[in-house]
Amino acid sequence: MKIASKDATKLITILIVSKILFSDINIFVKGSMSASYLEAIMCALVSIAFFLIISCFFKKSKCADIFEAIEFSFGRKIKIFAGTLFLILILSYTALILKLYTDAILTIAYPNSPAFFVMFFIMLTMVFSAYAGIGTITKFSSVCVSVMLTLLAILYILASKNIDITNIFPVLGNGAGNILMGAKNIFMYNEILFLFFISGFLEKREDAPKIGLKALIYSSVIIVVSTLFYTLCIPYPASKLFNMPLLQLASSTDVSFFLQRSEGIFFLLWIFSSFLYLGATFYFSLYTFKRTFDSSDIKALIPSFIVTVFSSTWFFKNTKIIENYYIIFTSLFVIFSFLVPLIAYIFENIKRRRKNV
Amino acid sequence: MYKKLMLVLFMCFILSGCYDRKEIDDYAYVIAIGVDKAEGGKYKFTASVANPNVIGEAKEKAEGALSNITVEATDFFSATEIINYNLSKKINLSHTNLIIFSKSIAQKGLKTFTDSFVRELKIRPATLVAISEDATSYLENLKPILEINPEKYFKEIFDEDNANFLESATLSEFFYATNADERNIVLPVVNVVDDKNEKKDDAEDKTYNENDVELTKLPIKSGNKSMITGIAFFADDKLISTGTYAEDVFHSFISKKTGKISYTVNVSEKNDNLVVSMTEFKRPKIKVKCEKIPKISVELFVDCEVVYLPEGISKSKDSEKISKIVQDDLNKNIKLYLEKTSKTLKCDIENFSKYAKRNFLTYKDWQAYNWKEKYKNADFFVDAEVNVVKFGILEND
Repeated sequence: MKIASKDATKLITILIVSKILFSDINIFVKGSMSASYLEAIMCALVSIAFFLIISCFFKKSKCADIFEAIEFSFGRKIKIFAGTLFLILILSYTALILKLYTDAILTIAYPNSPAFFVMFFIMLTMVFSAYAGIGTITKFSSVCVSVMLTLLAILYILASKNIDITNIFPVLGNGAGNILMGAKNIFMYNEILFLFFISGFLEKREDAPKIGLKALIYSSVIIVVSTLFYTLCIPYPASKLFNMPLLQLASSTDVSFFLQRSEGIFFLLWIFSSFLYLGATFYFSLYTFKRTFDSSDIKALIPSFIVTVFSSTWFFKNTKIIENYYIIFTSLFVIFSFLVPLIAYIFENIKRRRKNV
Repeated sequence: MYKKLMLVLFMCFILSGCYDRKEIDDYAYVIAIGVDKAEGGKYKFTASVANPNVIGEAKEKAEGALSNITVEATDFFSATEIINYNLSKKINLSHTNLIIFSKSIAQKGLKTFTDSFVRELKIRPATLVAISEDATSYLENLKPILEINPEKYFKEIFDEDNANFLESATLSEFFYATNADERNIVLPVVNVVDDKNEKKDDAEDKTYNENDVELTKLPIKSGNKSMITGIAFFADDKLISTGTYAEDVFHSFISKKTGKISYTVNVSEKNDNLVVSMTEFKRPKIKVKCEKIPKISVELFVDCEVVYLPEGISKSKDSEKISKIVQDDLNKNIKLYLEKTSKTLKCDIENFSKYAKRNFLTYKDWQAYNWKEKYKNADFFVDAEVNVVKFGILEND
């Protein structure tokens, strides 16, 4: 099974962009106030710069994926150690995101429904994605991208009535220092890690760095535009109070008698995003197990993994716990997304040179 | 093949979602909410519920289209629970068009109410907010004429296209203003008018010009006694003062929310009045210089059409002189109004802070300037560019 470059780009883009449905835009708002979009730009530039450094060594790599690179560089034991750590992280993170998506839709659309009811449908998709494989996920994502971008564009057009250009003043917000500190938010682009997973499945492996760069550029444009729109439509400090900025933009729609409240658009975005994101991350957790322990089959693990993920959601009982764990998990994820690939590919490069010499 | 077909059919069956269905007429739709003060730390909540059966029948008058239920409770959501005991249908807030707070509550602050309404997704952020002497009385006396659908009535009466100058603010705008730095808001005032009011046409009552009237003092006879009577100025979430008809006009000019306004200017000692129909053909240019004393300049661009020329005036005046009269009147009175906001109300009602912020690079610098204090001593420069376009369909005589 081979994945086309375009499909891979779209998959990684959607995985990164899914964050705008939650409170991640607010991180820029709380940091830089009216200059939140500048902080978002800073964060994007740093992530792209980091990726470009990684891709210098990634281009020269002859390993199929990151697991093979770690094994080549450090040995099998280190691969198993790192893989196990990452497996625990990704399973916990998947559970947390499942809880986040469920809570979001319960708040908006199903306040009287039990959480399990909504989770059940998402878990069905996760199981289906795991059985169907990465090929199906990427094909689905290539269809979803155009739909999601269209929905986002419609949302922004409808919300544009509330734009007030004075909301971006003072221009530097909380100061240039805070804008530069936007670099610490590179967890927004954590999902670039999955490119190093699927590099072995690409039709042309040498396209992988280009795929990563394109995905980062497209997703950063969407994140920056979303942040800018949010800043323009809702003045600071009211803007830092909302849990779901895009939902607030959708709720504010008021176009005469014909169109009021476009939360339906947010709901559709949520559906596409939740199914794709959770389906993909669940598949990658199985893939992590397979590559860490050199397992031949992952399908047998699907029921036990889905039960593990579902059971783990019980740890996240309230918003405070979810927020705390989200910060912890995303910070740990950054290490695996940027540091581990950088170190693995540098060492692979060094080892190959020594062998050639 | 059959397995896939059975799976698809099964999914269609379980996803049709009719288990907890609710029909449209299973709900009682609250169109307006009134909040008054009650005794013992409680509040009086009035819910105006639409009667779809009456709305559906084609009648001349909308009698019975709205049913008002008033309960006392500590908060609105507890009140809805109590109201549900009275109604056979479940309360639905998704069509609430208007929330009215009484003046006494507004003077103490509305933040707790508006925060709870914004937090509750069922109430639309675009719901209008207004102030009244007695919210319950306004809703009880509300009998829309020429309109049966009460929701449409509220929508249209606050529509910018309907009234040529009308301040309206939504729940989300109020929330942003109360949670934003140095941002204030103006809300419409709604009241019950009395056709037995004896109007005192006392020149001493007029601060500005002939347009300076208080609608609540006018005798107005109508089948519908509930109407919009003015504007209310807010500093943060507290009501500080109400405004007159003239102040509503000036505020609308500065915030560019005007359609065509009829404006009366006194042109002679014999109380001859010139009436012009004015429109702003361009957004006002507002510049703020943040020095030791802020200097605020407001440039207005107004087109006029003369609609009423008093006798004896038409022969001696031409369009340039009429422009000058209207221009001088606007410059003088708008400056008076702005000075009132600065020296008397001590509150940046017109949100010049939005323009002042452009002078600063960071929030720290902006907060160090202390705009709230500085505004109390601001200097205003008003320049209205008035152009008399035509004299209606009659020749300029």
